[in-house]
Amino acid sequence: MNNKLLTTTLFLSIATGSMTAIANDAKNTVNPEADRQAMIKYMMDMHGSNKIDGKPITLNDFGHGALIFSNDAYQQFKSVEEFPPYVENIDEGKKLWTKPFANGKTYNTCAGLNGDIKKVKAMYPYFDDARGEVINLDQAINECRTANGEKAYAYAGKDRALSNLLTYLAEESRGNKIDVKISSPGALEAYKMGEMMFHTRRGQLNQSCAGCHVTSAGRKIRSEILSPMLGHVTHFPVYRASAGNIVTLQQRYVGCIESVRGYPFPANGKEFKALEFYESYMSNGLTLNGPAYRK
Amino acid sequence: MKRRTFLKAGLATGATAVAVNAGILVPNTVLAAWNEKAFASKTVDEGMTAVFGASNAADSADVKLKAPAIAENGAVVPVEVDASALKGVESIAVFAVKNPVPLACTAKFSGAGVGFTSVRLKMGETQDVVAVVKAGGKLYKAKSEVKVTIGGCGG
Amino acid sequence: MADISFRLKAENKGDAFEVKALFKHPMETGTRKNKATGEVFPADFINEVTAKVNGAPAMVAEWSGAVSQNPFLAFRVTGKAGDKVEVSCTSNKGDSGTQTVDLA
Repeated sequence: MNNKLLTTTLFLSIATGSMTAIANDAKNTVNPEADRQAMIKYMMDMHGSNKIDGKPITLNDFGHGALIFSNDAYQQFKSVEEFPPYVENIDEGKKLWTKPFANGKTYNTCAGLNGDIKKVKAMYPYFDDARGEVINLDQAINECRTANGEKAYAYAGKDRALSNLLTYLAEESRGNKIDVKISSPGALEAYKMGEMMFHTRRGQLNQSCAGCHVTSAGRKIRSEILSPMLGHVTHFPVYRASAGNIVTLQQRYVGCIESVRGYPFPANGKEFKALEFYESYMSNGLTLNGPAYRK
Repeated sequence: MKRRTFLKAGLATGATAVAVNAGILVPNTVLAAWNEKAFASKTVDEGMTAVFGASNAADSADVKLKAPAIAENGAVVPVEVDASALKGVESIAVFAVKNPVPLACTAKFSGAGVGFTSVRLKMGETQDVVAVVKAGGKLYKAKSEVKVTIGGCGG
Repeated sequence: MADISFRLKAENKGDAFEVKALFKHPMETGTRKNKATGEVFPADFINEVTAKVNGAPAMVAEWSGAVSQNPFLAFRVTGKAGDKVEVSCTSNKGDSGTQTVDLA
């Protein structure tokens, strides 16, 4: 086990160069596309022999997260997805999306939200060069609100409106492939920040995202099987049966840091947007398959 | 809802009351009697007797029971019973043997109805799910163990 | 009496049609306790679901509170495109609902 761990870590270090990049930033040899290919190869090598529905998994099946490690769990997911609880949330989200603001305008009049409804979510996240920041769909929605005289929603608050909107937009964009572009120095910096976020240990339990979702993907933490990072973002927002409600990606980031007994960064802040940007890039080519039912 | 409760509720007044009592106006909600005895039974045998009038059932591979080996969430356990391989399926009963009341649900078929039912159940702990089918006057059953880590009955 | 809302959809499985229903209901067993007050939440669950095809009874389901919250039910009927399936439900409190779906 220890040897395998060491080999894996070394492989990742050499392949991605990320460990050395963090240690020695002056070299600046980050190559996102090489990282992504290395991650895909690693994941398929480690987990490609898992079977669901009697067939070995495909690359796209990583969009099912931890379910690829248990056909029993996957079957329960399939069963509930026949008529999932979140149909309610989709309807609520659609109502919110089409309801005009006080000034009479609707979301689809805002730049960035005015395209084909079937592709709106697929455009996010992206790096806005002019503004020098990652823009995700959560932010685009809120900026549309404030531009039209409405109050912004809290990103991880009790108000269900934002999660319902995201659920509706996810449903509409189902089937699109993730296609995050890194074509500027600013975008590359955002990727590097996300990569650093992903590999940094935090919390009292001193865990990094990678420690669970790369090194230990498929293994259990107490009774829960750890999901692989590849495919992490495809299925959000999720309907969590345990919560009885929708959980967005940003909310999950907050929750996960809390699980390792750390102080989470603010939802939709610079750090978690960078993390979303990095994780989304790494899942380029995978199909958006949210919203999804989870336990 | 039971007929007496329906009438007590004061809804059936005047002409409606007369019609109901005369048996002319008989909405399903008044006629259909929820099997209170069955849903108060404490064992599978008691439940089977209350539903089918008997508690002996033969194990049968024709009762296709689909239930998870390990429940992802004890509050939402998908259970499917497909008895369509049997001829003359009259009814299906599903038991979660360790629940306070083992009988979870029943389904009776007639006309175009096919011997198949699929539900999501609450299970409080690891236990067997038993599906009992009445077909052609005989009883058949199948069982499957479902492991439950966190019970689904809500506190 | 309150209205129980639910959704219906039908799928052609080849040898039969599968009708799926998703109800919006708390399905309180009547044994769950309010942790703050110690009082029991009163029983409030759908206890019967019936289905008719073109007016003829096809299925009667009886439920306990062990059926999950916001319950799901799938049943199968023989028939042809255009047949009308009517599903009704009632709860132990006397609430009820009815929806129809055409087989396609």
